[in-house]
Amino acid sequence: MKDDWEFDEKGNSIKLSFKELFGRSNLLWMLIKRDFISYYKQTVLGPLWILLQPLFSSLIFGLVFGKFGKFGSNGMPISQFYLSGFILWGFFAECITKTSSLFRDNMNLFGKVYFPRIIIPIGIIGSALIRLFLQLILLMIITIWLSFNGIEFKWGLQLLFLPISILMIAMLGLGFGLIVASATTRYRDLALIINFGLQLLLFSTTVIYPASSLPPPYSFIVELNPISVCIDMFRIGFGAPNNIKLSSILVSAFFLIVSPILGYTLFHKVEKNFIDTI
Amino acid sequence: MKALVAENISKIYRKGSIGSGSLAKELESSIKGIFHKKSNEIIEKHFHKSLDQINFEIEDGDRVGIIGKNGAGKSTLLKIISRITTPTHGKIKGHGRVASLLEVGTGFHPELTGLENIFLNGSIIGMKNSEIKANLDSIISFSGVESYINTPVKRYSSGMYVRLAFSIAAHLQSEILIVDEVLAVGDLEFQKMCLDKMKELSVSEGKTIMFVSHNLNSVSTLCNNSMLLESGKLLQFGKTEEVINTYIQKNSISKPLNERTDIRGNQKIRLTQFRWFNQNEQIIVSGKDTFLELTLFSSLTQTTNVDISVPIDHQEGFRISILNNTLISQSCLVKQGENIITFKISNLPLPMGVYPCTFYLASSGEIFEWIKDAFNLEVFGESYYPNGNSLPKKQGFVYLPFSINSD
Repeated sequence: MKDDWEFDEKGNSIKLSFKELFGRSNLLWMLIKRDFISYYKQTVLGPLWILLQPLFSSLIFGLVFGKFGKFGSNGMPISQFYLSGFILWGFFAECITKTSSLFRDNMNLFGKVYFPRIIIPIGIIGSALIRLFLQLILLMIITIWLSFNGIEFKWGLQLLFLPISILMIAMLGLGFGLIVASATTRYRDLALIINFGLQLLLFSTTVIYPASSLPPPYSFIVELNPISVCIDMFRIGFGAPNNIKLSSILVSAFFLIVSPILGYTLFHKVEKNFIDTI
Repeated sequence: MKALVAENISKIYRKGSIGSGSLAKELESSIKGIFHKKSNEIIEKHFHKSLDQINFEIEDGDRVGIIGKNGAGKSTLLKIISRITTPTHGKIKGHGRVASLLEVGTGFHPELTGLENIFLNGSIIGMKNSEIKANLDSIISFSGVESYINTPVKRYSSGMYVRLAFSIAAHLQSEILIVDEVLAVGDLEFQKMCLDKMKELSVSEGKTIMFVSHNLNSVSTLCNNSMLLESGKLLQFGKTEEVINTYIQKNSISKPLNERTDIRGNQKIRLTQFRWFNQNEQIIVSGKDTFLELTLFSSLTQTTNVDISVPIDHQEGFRISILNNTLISQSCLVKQGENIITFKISNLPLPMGVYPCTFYLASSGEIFEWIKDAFNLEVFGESYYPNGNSLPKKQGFVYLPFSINSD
């Protein structure tokens, strides 16, 4: 019979989870929709917040680091440099914070009904992607506006760096988020570390200054950070010079492969009966 | 065809806190785990068997009730069948989609409207969009909240909430439906509607149903088969009637009378048996005439002027009332050998619950037997008022017969 199923103490096989996942695409869509509708209900500005958040961050950091601190902006206009950095950083931060608390946030749901659990983190990435996309449109508008004001923008193959860098940072956010999510079911401390850790991490990336503006040992650390690599690639899409080093690429490739695999393996181990321990 | 087969299912929980919090202790316990093989004693001390080697097979289209006291493992069993958690040992096999309704409105978002929540909840419990659309009218009309369907559910009353939730679940095209006491919410009329709907689903569509409830009345109306769980073990699995009888027998008494050591009195006359019943049934329901049949055995030739008392307590400890023959000036006579005495309570005014009863038997100052909490009166359902309404929660512990006369 086609609907036969069977399971034991090992829970679902990974193969089965993915098979089920494809049958539940409407659930994925509904979760993204729920996230969107509920997030902006009863707010005055509504979805406008999606654009305001990176704009304000860019404004403040642009003033402090770009204008007063004179860290430079890697040959890009300051507005473009900071906005591109914060859009991608915001995406990463959202992926990782929401993914890392997914077991706690969905405890009620997980405790009462079964569905392939991996849908939840995929949904988180999905709705973050939609926000990113809207912010990207804003960035495009600013870029076009800048090109009318004499700063030339070349439409070309370098635009391919945009989807590649977004995909990379999504994988990193998902991977690290899943690792933290799985670990927090046992050690809640990690949930506390996340917020504060992200703030610190921000300062070791190229979101707020180009690596070239730092003295050697520090610039090296910032360059090796895989988040910096993603952000620099993203900026190449907007015409920044390509000065990513091979060592940085190797390091991020390593994290890019290891973190999603480790994250998913841990998640799969935890999902089957975390409800007994949380 | 078997809809569901459970093979040797056990679920073991660790007692005490999990993940002791400090890394040092975690390390300590994992190192201990490597060097010492867990002895049975340690397992007993640190682990609790919530389910203990459960085996059963459920046929297609069966309606199976699961009964047992709190902590017997009913909910754990349902959680395992609905794949929310995995068994510690054992295997479950089945065919067909499983829909579980362990709670009302799982995943309902308060900010979303009823209609939006139909789509959300429907997809969470496993319906396809096309399925939801095809059944939309039917879902809305069965829930009875048509006029509020575009209102956010946070403004719904709890009754409306449950109706909508149940309505969605009832339209899920699953082969197996699992329900956990959801029906405890909602008014009696709605409960009846749910039971009828579940029965209809099972009969007309061959849906297999597993139903956990403390309300034996609902179980006996809905389920053809039942299983009785007691501290994690499957005690009995068979015809609902028989299983309910076993359950009532086991529950009506905390300890068999002949094993009790705290009986006072000279026991020249003894209580040997007792039975609560109404209209030839053992399921006691408030509002119905209820009988208590006591079997006494006397070693005396004849005793006149016996005083038989059965005080009835509330579970919270206070005395509700007393059944006593002298209270209504009815003299009783006990012959030598076996005697049967029957008390009748008209329209039993007690709501659902367990009521410990004491037994006291004396005659002109001589106490024959005095057994504290000798047996229980367990009320399994309520139909006191003719319209079937129950007392609202926390609005008292006794029904009063009343009527209203305006003008």
